[in-house]
Amino acid sequence: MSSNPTVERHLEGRYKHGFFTDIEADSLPPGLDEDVIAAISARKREPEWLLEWRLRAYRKFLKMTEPHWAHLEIEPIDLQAISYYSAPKSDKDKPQSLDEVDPKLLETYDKLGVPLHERARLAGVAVDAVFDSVSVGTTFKKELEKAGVIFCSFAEAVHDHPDLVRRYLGSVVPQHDNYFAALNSAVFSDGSFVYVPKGVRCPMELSTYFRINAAETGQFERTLVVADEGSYVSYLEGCTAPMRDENQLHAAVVELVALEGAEIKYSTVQNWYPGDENGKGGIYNFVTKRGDCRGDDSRISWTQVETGSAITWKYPSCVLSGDNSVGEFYSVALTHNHQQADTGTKMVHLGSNTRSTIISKGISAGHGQNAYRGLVKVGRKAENARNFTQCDSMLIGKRCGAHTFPYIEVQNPTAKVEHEATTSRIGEDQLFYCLQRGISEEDAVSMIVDGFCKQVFRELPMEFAVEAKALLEVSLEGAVG
Amino acid sequence: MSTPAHIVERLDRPAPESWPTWSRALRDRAREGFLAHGLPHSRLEDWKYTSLAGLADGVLDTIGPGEGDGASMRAPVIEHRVLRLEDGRPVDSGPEWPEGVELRPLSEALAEPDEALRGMLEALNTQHPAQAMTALNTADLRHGLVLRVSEGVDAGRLVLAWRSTTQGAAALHNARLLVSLAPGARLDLVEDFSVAGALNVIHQVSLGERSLLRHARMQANPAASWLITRIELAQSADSRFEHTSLDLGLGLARHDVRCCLAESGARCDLAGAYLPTGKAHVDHHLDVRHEAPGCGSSQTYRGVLHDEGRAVFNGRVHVLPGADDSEAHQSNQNLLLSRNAEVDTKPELIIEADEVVASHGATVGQLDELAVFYLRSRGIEESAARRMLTGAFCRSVVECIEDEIVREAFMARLDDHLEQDR
Amino acid sequence: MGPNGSGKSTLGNVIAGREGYQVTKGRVEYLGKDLLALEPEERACEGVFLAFQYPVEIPGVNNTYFLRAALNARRKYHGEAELDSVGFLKRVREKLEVLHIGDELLHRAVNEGFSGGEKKRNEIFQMAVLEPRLAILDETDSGLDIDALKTVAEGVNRLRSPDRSMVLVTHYQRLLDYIEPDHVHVLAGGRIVTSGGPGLARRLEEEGYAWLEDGGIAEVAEAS
Repeated sequence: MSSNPTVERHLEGRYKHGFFTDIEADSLPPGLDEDVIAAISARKREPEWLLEWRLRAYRKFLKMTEPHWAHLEIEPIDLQAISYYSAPKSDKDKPQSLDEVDPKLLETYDKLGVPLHERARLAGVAVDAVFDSVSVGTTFKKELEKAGVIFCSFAEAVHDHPDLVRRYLGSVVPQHDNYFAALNSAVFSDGSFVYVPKGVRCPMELSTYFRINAAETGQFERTLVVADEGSYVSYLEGCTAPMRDENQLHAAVVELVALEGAEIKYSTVQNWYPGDENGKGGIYNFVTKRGDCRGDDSRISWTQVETGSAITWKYPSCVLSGDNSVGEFYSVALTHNHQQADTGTKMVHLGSNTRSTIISKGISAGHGQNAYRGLVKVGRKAENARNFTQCDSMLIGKRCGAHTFPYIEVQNPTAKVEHEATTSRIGEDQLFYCLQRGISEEDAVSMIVDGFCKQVFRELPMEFAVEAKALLEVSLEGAVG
Repeated sequence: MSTPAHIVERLDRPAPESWPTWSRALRDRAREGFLAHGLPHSRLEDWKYTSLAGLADGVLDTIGPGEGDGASMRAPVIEHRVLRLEDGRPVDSGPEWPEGVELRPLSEALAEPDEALRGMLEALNTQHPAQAMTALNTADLRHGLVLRVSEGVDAGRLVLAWRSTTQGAAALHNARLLVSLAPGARLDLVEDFSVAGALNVIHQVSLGERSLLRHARMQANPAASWLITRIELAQSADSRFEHTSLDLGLGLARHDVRCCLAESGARCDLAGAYLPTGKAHVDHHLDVRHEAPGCGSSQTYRGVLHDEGRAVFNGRVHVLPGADDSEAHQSNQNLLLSRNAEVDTKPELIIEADEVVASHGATVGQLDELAVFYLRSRGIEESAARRMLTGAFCRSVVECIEDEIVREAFMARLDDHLEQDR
Repeated sequence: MGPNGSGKSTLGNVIAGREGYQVTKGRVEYLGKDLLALEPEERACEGVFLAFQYPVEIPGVNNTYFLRAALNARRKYHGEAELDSVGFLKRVREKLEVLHIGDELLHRAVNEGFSGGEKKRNEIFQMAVLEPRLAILDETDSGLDIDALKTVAEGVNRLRSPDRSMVLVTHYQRLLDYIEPDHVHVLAGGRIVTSGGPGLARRLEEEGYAWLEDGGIAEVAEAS
């Protein structure tokens, strides 16, 4: 059949967050060597041990090569052309409170739809915003302190809670885990740190907004969330970047540690600049996210809505070390125009009675390429492990692709692992049914897509779910017809 | 990992003098390709779970004369219309054929000019590291068969009984089978492998419009053996390939099947049951390429693993741009019944076309305990109940064989295996 | 009889030896034997038959093959010769005829793709072929249309004999319109709270189990 004209018509959605903020920045010149790493570390007044840690990572990185196994077409990345540090230069020092934050910055967040104070207050969300490389202010700090929860920028944590950082940094994602994780370990600039003490239920959702602003910078943030015994925390992150013609690299590392009986919910709405409709520009989003259910009865749940970035390469994973621990992965990934995504998860069952659930929904439109890549591994000692995986793909239009690469490795005869996948397109009959009932085509499509993603949206905190849904609609504008 | 010397030595043997220059060039190039990479290893995605390089030292050297005695004596699964091959070499001329069917040894066919044959032989990639076994096979091109069925002819059944001699069992033997079915032709090909040592067989098949190839293959090789097979298939419009594979052996078996559904209406149905016991290792790599609109494919594989058995399944369906209205289904189910057994499964879908209906499913688990109880509550002993359920699980694959004679012969072998198994 | 969760199905499952139940107290004596000491298949060979509330689908196992294996297991257990296929088929066809079941059933896999009614009929058919000494029919009447209900009832009635006991587990009087019970026992909270004749079933149908909860249980509890 011939290509659907309505689809074509809609394939011209505009990136709504594509402005950049004109503020003075303190940046390092492009390039990467040990001096640059030392300069990053010096600027952040880091202790000696951290500099050494970075340099060790860098030396490992030098021995590694860029991976090419993903179902992606990646233009070569010139790591020497990137600036590894860029901080907004607001007066001399970093702002101490929100009031001191450069108003232009705050304006930026407003444009992004993240009104830092109002929205934070209204929603009761504590927001840590990472602008390029440094964290620019954390709201609700006081309230959190009362509960004993530490929520601050990574740099602050290095100074104020060095023992915690030293104990857990790199304990889930080792420096040499992969090429981009090694790079991040060497050059990470800032990020967020969370520690929830024993038995504490974090009184509010914690949230971080990331934004790449400066040109030719990479963003290499590092997030570490530690939930001590019997604690609970829900963490949200959102990401945007301005429109630029060149590709920008975002290589973050997120480490989660759940001790006995702890639960971490980690939700991401990723809307980095995807490039234009011809595939020019856009963020390379190469992220390593991993959680370790280190204690018995712990639980880690990843939920992601990925609509941005030119290329997404990330596999939020769970290592289920503790007995009775639970790992979950809920994902919606949408690729449109020339976007590519290779995403999925790894569930590594090591403890007894461990359970994991994977629900992945891929939507491809335009020339978008969307791959699910996952690993479910049941080790020899993991008695009674259970996994259920469902990954569904939806194709909108004729030139896109949907791919599924699930790896299942089972070494224990008490395991039950089930994987199901389907690929379909929005059916003419579904569309017609809606149209016949008087629903516009665009509404019909978003309704069908929304239904397709429902299982995942359900896992998001309420207001994020609303945002995710809206984002999907925007991203799909013009995808159908 | 070094390549065992006897494999390299084998490649030093020249081609028969009667063969044309192009075939020598083909062999030489393949030889270079193989020597450049050596046996495939686990760093290659296609060999991630079956590293021949890693296994070569442990296995090939220990294969000695005598191991294969039982195997070489075994009667063919069907005893009519049999052609026997030893160490990859045809040792008799096989059954009588109706008019329009041509079957001859490869060495004979190559001694005469034959552009079609040349085209087929030159089509295979021998330079990629993952294709090292193809390179090896081509570099040692010598034994095999060429089978052609003319337009509209039903060739009936051919049973290939692959056996090994006890002498020189340590060697790795190579064989090539070239099959062409003209439009509307039919062939029922049955293969029965009972081979000690190592055998590397490549089938190149060309299916003309509306032709039908039914292919049923079983292997019951002894321990410490290797069977490496590769089927390369090109299908024209409305042709059909029905393939069933039954793995009952104790050695290593690696099966690659690559189907190109090149024209509309072509269909391939691949099915297999594997029951590794002892230290058996069975690896299926399927690659179905939907290149034209309106094609269909299915992959239905089931495995039962005992002891230290190991199973690998990698089923790929690739629907290329333009191959609209394709339908593809994949299913891989495994019963993992022993503490030391392992299953690695990876059902892949790569969809780049429109109006595609594709699904896949993979499971690893155990018998349904409720079903076991149901049988026991009717008086059936527990071990018998488990055997009955395990048998039913595998039988469903064999039951799909259309030809009743072949189906029953395979079923009998499967039942034998299930009986002695536990 | 008894309300949901009163332990009716549990009783049947425990007698048949289903996994997942632990007997903490008491014993089950059956024809002078300690039933709980036997494996499920031994109990079956001793003549215990459980008609499942949800009969299990077993793809790939042919009904005929299955029944013959079951019947011969029983004969072997009692030291009798196995039935040959002619003898077996003869017996099977007789039962099919009596129960008005078509013989296409024989060619299908056990319960696979059967409707609810077909599954229940198949249970009765198996019971007829296996000729148990004690049959427990766990809600065999639930979800049946009137025709299927009549088949089930007819199957039960035909098998009634002085040397065979049958326990029907049911919520409703409906089945008892076709099968006249000798005794009615009412279970609640895992115990028999009251017993009586057919009249008790009718009273339950009219007044519901609330009647029991209001006073019946208390009466019984006092008495014990």
